Amino acid sequence: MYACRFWSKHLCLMSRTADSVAEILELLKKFVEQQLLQWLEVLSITQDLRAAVYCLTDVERWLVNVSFLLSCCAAYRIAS
Amino acid sequence: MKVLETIENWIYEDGIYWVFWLNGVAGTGKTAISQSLAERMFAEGLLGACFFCSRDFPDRRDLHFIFPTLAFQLAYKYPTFRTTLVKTLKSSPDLGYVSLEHQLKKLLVEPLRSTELSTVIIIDALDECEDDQPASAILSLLSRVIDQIPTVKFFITGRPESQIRSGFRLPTLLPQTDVLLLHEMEPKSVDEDIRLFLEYHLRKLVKNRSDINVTKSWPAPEDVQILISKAGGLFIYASTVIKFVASPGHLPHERLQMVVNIPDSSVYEGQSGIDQLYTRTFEKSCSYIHHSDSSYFSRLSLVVGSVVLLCEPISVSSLAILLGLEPRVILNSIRSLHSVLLVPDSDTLPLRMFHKSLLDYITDRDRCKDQRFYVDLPIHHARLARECFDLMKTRLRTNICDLPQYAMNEDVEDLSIKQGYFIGEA
Repeated sequence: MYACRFWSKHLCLMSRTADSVAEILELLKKFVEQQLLQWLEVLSITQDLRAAVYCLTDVERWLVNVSFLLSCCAAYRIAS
Repeated sequence: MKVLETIENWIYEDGIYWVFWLNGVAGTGKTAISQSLAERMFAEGLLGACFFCSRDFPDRRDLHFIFPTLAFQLAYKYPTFRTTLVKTLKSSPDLGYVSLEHQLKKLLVEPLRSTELSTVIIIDALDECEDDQPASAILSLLSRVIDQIPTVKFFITGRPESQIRSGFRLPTLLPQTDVLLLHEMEPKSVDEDIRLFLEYHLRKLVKNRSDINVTKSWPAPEDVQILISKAGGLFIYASTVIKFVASPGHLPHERLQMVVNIPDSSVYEGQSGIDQLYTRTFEKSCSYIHHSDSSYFSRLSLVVGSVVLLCEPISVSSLAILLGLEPRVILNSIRSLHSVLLVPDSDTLPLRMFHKSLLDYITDRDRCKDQRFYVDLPIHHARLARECFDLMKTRLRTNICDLPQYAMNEDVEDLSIKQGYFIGEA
């Protein structure tokens, strides 16, 4: 239940180094592809569907931030 | 005692200040003072309502609970308030869920205005609420209505964090607010309070122990004096010392001597008191572990880091599931950290830190100099995010609670039991 409710909080506060972001992005991708419905099911049973909204807003914000970071990294790599 | 006197004067006098901000950094005793004040005002019949915010409890860190709680308490105490409030609630029963602004207006301002009650409302540790506004949401709202309820006094405590500071600087609040800087109080009077606190608790400690024979007066005044100077005005230091000395497996006299003998440091005194105490506690907790046992220390920082960084405290057994460790491994890592972590008797009760200042200490490289204990915030959050994903990957499955097909949640009678069994806290 903790993991379901709070993973996005840790996501937002984690380090922004290219390596760790890439690793978590991979986990996030798998999660969204395979477990999104199961996750919503848990939140529904624990009467916490509201948390899903907050979670997804967090993720959206995080993705905007890291995609900027990653594009900078890519630009840097091309330039060098 | 002097602080309480100042606050009581503010309550009894008809001054120009309707709001009192007790401003103090971590560990200066704000909550202790609020509690004493609340008790005294309750005894005098002046206390209208109080709310003690705390980041450790979901219902005490959510801003939306503050106004309804205050309204409930006021209604409980004052029949006239109750009558008005009941009328309001009958016409709009969903007030618990509307915007903060609307809550404040309907639940507090309107009933207070029509009843003209003169009362005191206490809100403690406002900085521990979850609030993403640049200026504290509660203070911004209060500033807009404070002129409409001139019979009510608000006593608010909080750390001088930017949200709280900008809140009190709002133009309508500023001229009405009396501020007392706890960490800039005359050191002598704070020290006197700490002395009373230390002496009272240390004496109580030996009185309750049958295995100790007190021959001479204890604690020795010079030892207490040393503790006071080490505390540097921080109440949290004094209460941490008490916890350290009270350890049931040790002799209080020896424990006290250990603290008294920590060599003085030249870093600015305010923080060094608590920092040294934390450092000493951590070093002591692993004095029997070989310095090069890096797996022990990485586990220690993993466990302690998780306890301080989790969004909500969870139990030892749940933490074990989340981190993929055995509960006894966790307990073993923290077994000597009881003066800084609240370790419950049962594996199923939440494990939490004693005071927020531990988080500040352990995540600050300049303060926590021993690399073995330092917790790197962003890296640790990444680790926790990964653990959350891993756990969800292994545990989530379709129809996790084995519910009958097409059943609605509310039709399943033992849903909460199933939830505990199949989903669990972690």
